[in-house]
Amino acid sequence: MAIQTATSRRQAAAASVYAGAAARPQGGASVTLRGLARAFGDKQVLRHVDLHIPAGQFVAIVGKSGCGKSTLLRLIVGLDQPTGGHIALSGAPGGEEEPGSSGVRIMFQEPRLLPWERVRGNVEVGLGRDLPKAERQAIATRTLEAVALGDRGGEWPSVLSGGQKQRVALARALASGPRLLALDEPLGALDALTRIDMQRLIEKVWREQGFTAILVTHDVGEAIALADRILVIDQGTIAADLVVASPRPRHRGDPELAALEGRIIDALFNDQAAGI
Amino acid sequence: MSDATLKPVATAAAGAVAFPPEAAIVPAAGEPAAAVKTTRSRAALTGRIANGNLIGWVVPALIVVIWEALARAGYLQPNVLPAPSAIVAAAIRLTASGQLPESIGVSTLRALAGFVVGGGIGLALGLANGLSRLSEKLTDTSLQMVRNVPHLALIPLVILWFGIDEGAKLFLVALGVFFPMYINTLHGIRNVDPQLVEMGRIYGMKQGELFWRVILPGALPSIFVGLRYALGIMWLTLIVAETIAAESGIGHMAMQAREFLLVDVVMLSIIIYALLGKAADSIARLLERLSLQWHPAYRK
Repeated sequence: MAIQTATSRRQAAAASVYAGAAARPQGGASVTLRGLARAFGDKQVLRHVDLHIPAGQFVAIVGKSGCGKSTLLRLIVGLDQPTGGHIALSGAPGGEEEPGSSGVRIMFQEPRLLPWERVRGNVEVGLGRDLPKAERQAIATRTLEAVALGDRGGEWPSVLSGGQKQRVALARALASGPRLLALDEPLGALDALTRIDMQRLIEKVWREQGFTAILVTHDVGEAIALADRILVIDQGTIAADLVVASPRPRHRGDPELAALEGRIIDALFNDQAAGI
Repeated sequence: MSDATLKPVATAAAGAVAFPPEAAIVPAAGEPAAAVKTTRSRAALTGRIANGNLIGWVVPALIVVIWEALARAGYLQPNVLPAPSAIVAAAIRLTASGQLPESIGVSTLRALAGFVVGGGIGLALGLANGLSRLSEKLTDTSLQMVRNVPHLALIPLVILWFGIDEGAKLFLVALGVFFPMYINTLHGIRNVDPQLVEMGRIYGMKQGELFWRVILPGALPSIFVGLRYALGIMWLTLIVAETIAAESGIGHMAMQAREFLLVDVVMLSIIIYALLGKAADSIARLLERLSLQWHPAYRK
């Protein structure tokens, strides 16, 4: 297993190392951050983050509570404005991707479904209002089938289980065929078995659709199971940048992955982490 | 009912003759059956009443039966509390003369007009102040001050302004209905889940779509609370206004009957008010059930 480490300053230069991701379907957007900073009042949450994520890569961001990982994600998808530096998202054909457009989608820890719309209606929210109604319904039905909820389109969200609701939220995010999918601890509120199910589903749709995925998580095991690359954030900077080269599908309990998990956890609780 | 319950076989026929309403409630008592069978069929009927919406009417029906019985036994003076049958007779008499339908029509129209005006303004201001901080800063303080004046305290002033014309009643009803609609609409808009609003924005909803698809449906349960509360205030205000100053309507009918000591007509007026209030509430509940189907609390 190859583990690559880089300090945040070398990120942009090291980008070409991840060329393997380019073999995926040309569906993803690449993300480039230069000198990104965000402060809330006096508190500097992110300081000078440089990062390049090539199109189609699955990146996991791990870090302790309050380290700035969710802030980083919200900046990338355009939910928040940086106080310094800049962000560039570009799609595979080369065009600029506007943050907040249908090419960028985010999934939260809560499903955030509209309780007054049926399941299919909630998925249609992801398609906007430009397509004709019949086409929207067809796409919504197809996307629901992709998350194994094809027969639940006519139900109210309130009758679904937590895992099913989160699958509807995933379908809503995927409906428009995004090039960048941001996942803000989407499985944090689910039980352990449902979480494994959801991880497999997310991996499957990512492989099929080839979007760029950025997953923020507390769960190091989850990051290792899903990601090509893991960023450890500590005190507002990227403290470690690791490549997980293990072949997919990955098996839980694999000793190599377990060793990597141990190292990342050490990094999280050790200030000399950058040296692993 | 008590006779039939205690000795079903022996007194069944007598009970049915003496009390027609009771016979309707316990039809099984009419057949010469064994006590066991009677109990079973009564259990079936009890079940049917409990399952349907009929259960709410058991207590009122019982009160009417007891009331009729006491009146017939001579315990109630007809000029103090007339029997239910006398009130029904008055209703038939006044319906035949056309006075009752006319009065109900006039009062209902007044109530609805005041409700539409006051409720409409309340809803509009509630939406405006819920959606715009500027609008709220501009008007909320003034509205809260006016809210603390009981609207019925304005009756002398309203009579000076409008006389006892339709304008006076419309104004009072509209004022009474305004505040519950305003406050509950504002509350509803304010309490729409901000996470859903953020979701709508991320998914590219424009202001209009965000309002119709996220904010308004989210505020609807609270708006319905305001609506039902407003309907209650609507009838209350109308009753007071019509009783004090009116030349038509149910309140006027009651005051006129008082002068001629027609207690049955006064009682009838009170019952009509109660039924109208109940009807308005039922309609509001029906609307609520239809538009809040998604809400687990409104699903059967």
